[in-house]
Amino acid sequence: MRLHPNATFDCLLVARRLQAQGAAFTGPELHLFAYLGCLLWLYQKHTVTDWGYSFVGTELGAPYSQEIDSALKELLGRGFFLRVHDRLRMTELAERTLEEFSNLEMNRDRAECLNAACASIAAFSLGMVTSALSQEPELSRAKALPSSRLLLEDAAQSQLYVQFEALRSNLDHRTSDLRLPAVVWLSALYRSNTSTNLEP
Amino acid sequence: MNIVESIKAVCQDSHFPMAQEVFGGAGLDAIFQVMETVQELYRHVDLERISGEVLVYKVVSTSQNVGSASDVSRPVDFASLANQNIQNLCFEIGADGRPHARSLGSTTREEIARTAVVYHCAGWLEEFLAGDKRKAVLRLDSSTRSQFSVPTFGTLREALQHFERDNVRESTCYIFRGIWHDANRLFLKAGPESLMRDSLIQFLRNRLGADHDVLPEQNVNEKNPVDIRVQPRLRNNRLMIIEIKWIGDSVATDGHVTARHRDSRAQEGATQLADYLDQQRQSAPSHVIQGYYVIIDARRRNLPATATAGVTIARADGFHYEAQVIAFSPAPHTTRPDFDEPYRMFASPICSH
Repeated sequence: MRLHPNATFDCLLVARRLQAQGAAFTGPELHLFAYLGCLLWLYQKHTVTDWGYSFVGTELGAPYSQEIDSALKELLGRGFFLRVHDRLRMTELAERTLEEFSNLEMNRDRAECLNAACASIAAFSLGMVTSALSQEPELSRAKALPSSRLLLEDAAQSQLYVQFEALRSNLDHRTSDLRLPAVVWLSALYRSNTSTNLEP
Repeated sequence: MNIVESIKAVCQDSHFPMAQEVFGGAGLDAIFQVMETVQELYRHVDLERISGEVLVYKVVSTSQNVGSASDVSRPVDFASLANQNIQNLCFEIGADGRPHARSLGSTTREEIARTAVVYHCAGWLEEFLAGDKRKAVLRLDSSTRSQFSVPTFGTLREALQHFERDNVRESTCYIFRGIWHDANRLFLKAGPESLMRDSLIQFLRNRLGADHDVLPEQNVNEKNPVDIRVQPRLRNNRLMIIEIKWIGDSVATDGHVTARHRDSRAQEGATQLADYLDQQRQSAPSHVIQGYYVIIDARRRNLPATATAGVTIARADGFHYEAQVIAFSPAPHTTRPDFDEPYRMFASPICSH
């Protein structure tokens, strides 16, 4: 089976970042941070088509990508990842391959988005990132529906862009470093969730 | 608060933009390094064991050279601190990105902050300083002592005990607080179970999320879903299911009583969970399954017939049921090993005297 280049790179990069923080990682975490990376890609005013693959939202409010799933299975099958109980670890082969892929100009912008997405775990626990992101307009809508649905379709992005514009204006367009909007946005999503539940 | 207002509030109140505002890109790099180091520290050292202060900083500009010692010291291995009783801790993140123990003498954290991003924690107060600015860390989870510390409980049992103490007892959790019809916490809103469940899910995800999947409303049969299912990631043959019921009086928005649940309701839940466990054993025979029954106890004595605005009751009535245990018959927790003793969690009211 042919590996999807973008999804493969994303799996490797996210895996390395998560492994550096917590020694091992899981499949759902790859989907989660690849999706957050994709959202930051949109924040940077790139198009969703240029991300290279799509996501669906599950009934539990979690993102899932068929391409990430296939890449994960292939990486496991080819010895790039090892399964340790229910968690995964990268092998040296994966580290070397990621090093090569990272040097490619075509991966520069998406690496920036994925690195910023993964940096958020310096500020929040994994559980909090999951809770916050499930309040993002697209996943929040998916949760309300009984079946999985495609995320980030053109018509559904308007609410997302309102939030991105609010982020840009409140941060005074002061930095191009995506880590700042990422952590501010996740904090705001988490807070809005808890305050929504306080409303009568 | 809608999300746009929430973004504005976070930008004004949180420490992330402050570091960037004061020191530019280097400040942002520093604050992420400091947060990662603090997380790493709290993975090894229980915050409860530290009786004094914690200070972690990263020098951004060395122009005034305050608090930036040379990196001749060896970096600290946080694991070596795990079993010590600690008073104060102070670390500088060196040029090598590693923490180095520092003794500040008479230098204050405000002086260090002139050229550094500084994290300071004392008791329940966490703050960041950068230049002449300081911001308290936003407490997104009201029950943790530090935003950067994720307490890991050995068992779900222990987590549930903490949930009772930290979230339910005084309705501290923002989500849980939404179950009440009135400010004095006498009457529940009609149908409060989904908020109770969401509060517990959030609590468990924040604490157990790194090692467990915490999933809401799982169908066990076609009629009644079990409230929460918890699966440890490292032991895939283990399964914990949590059933939540409430007892007390619920009212509609106009104040008329919609339900008055007492002991028989609690019994109903116990029987229901015992049935779930039997069904699960049949459908997943290779799994080791344990059932946990949470009863949110909001019973009050001598409540008025309707919930009128500002209604209050005497303390003796409000806390009448606090220590009153529920007698189960049958009592599945006494006859089967897969059924934990029920967790009755008394949610206290605010009383007049």
